[in-house]
Amino acid sequence: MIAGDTALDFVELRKRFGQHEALKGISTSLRPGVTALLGPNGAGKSTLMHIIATISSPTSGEVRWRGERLTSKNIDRFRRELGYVPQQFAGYPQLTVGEFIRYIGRLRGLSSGDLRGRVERSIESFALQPFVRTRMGACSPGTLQRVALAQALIADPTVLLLDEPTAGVDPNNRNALGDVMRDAGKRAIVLVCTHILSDLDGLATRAIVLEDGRLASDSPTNFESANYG
Amino acid sequence: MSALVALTHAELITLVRRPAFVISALCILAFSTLLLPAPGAAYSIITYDGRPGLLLGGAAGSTSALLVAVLLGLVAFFVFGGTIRRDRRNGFGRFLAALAVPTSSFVVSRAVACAIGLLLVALGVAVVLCAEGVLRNGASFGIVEFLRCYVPTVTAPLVLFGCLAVIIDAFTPDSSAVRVTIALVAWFGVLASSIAGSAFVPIPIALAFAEIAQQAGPSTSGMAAIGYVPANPHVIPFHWTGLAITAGFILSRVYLILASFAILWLCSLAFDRFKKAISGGGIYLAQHSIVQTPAYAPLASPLRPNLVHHIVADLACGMRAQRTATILAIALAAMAALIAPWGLSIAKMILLLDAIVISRILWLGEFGIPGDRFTETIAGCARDWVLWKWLDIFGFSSVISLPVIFVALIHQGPAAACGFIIGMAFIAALLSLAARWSGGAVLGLAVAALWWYVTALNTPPPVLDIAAIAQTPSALQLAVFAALVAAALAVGRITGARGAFR
Repeated sequence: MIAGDTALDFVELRKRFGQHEALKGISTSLRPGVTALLGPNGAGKSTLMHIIATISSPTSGEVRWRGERLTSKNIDRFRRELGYVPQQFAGYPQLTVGEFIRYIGRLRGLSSGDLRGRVERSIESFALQPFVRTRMGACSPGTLQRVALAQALIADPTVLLLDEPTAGVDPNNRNALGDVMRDAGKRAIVLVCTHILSDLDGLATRAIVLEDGRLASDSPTNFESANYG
Repeated sequence: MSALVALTHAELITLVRRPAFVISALCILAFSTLLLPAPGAAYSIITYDGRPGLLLGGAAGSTSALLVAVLLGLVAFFVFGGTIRRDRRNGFGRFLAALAVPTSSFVVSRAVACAIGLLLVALGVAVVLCAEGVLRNGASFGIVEFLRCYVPTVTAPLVLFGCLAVIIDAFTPDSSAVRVTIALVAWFGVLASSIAGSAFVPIPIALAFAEIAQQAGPSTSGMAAIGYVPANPHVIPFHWTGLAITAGFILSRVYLILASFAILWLCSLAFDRFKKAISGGGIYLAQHSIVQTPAYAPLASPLRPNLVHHIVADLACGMRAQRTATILAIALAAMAALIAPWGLSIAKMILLLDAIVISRILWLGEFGIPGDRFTETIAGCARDWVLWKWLDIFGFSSVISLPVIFVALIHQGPAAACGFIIGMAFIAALLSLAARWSGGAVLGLAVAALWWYVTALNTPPPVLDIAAIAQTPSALQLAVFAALVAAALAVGRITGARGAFR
């Protein structure tokens, strides 16, 4: 475990793709709680999510976890504390929902004793019991999205990244998802990238708005005045 | 370790639940019985540098060993080659990248899962072969000897090529040139080690050398020096005494290298964008321009197009679009034809040509010429499409086969030439129909190619006759083939997409 408070800091993050600069010096800090990441298309939200998820690295600048700069030496320790739901989630269609969640649990390093209980709890939390024996390839997009969330939360992550988490999820499950996010936000950093602002109403305590790769605003949530969709 | 086990387990489940795996395994099991040498085939023991040898069949055994090595390898490429690309393509790789699992674990787990999958198939093959061997030859056949003979023959290429495919897949970027180069190096490395007589040579390939050298004639064959006597029905001990470099020896190896190149080329088509790599994108672009050519104009007509016109147009467009492939194929065929009179059988030459024909069909299967969809949409008659495609393939095959037909006429008379032509038509029909109807072009082709090779060339030893090309399969074989095509078609419908097989 890296020493220090549960804080994820970004210092002058830049990301360049050829001639295009997707992130132009983002500096901010995330603390436990639900934070909304907003902005129009092309603002750099996905790029920032990818950098935090350690899928891509910044061209310059740094990411600090608990005060320590993330490098190749300590990145795996950060990854063990990370839960991630990508925008387009695709598991293996041949695995059943139960098998897939167990699979991810084991990849996240859960012990055999721990695994069973956590898998059952995740399945229950997201009402996936009817689909435990259903192959992923036969699941609806909404069910897949719930599987994605279940796998992300299985190891009690300290940092939870949700990229468009409510896409394809029906209203009942959206409410359930809200409860899960609220619960996770009490102890973890939850960063939610979304266009559906109503899902975060009363849930997110902070909104980070990106525009053209820059930090346009970073303030306590006030979705009524926000205008991104 | 726990993550590695989890990865391997998940990968194995994913692999064996794919329709392609089940169908391929069934195909391999069904065809495996064809690999048996006929009763009375010679058996021999080969020893490398005094190390314990393996019991293997005679001429037929070693020929089929070569074919099995290459073709099961090809199947392995098709079925198992895309696991890492799959993750890249469907976005799951991005998710996996965010886990604290090293890349090496993914690669190792996939290789292990592939190896287990392949071994499962090999085990099935061994059981089928063993039962078949006992049925055909009685208890005297010797189950232990039989297993010693066939398990390595079938297992080695499956595992080697399957793992090779995964490793190439994992460690190379999306550059086909790099992949093909690696595949080339790997393949020729195997050949080189065979020539050097290394003890680590995969047995099937080493024996294929022996068989090909034997075909070249005992007086000119380096391998003949080891005392290869295929007609002897008894177990004969062999001892490696080195190679005698003679003209026949060199020719036989030149031939094999040519054949290998053609087969490698065929295998390489399994890699995406290879076509762009060899042609600088010219072929690919040309294909997209085909629909603009006047030759396809009749299709735009609401009236039923003239069949003859369409066949000519299809053939002309196909050959024009694949100019590089056509030139290469004709050149290879001509070279093979030139080598043939010097003691190499025509059946071997047909190996090369078939590889080219299959590659041509693969090409069509993989990309289709852009007119295909256009044809289906406008003309709306799939049955005719199959006929056209078959005739196109047959026409193409005939053009590139002219040198062989000529040699067949000179050396073996009109009957052999007719046999060859009929054989070509037979292959084209089988392959095109299998590709079309299996619901998965690549899988269908792999199945059809395997079927063709083992049927046509596993004739009673030691003579591999050109007539084998036109050999009519037995009713049982046809029934098995029909069942496989039906199964493939059913799965294709269930999965609803050709892409499901890839």
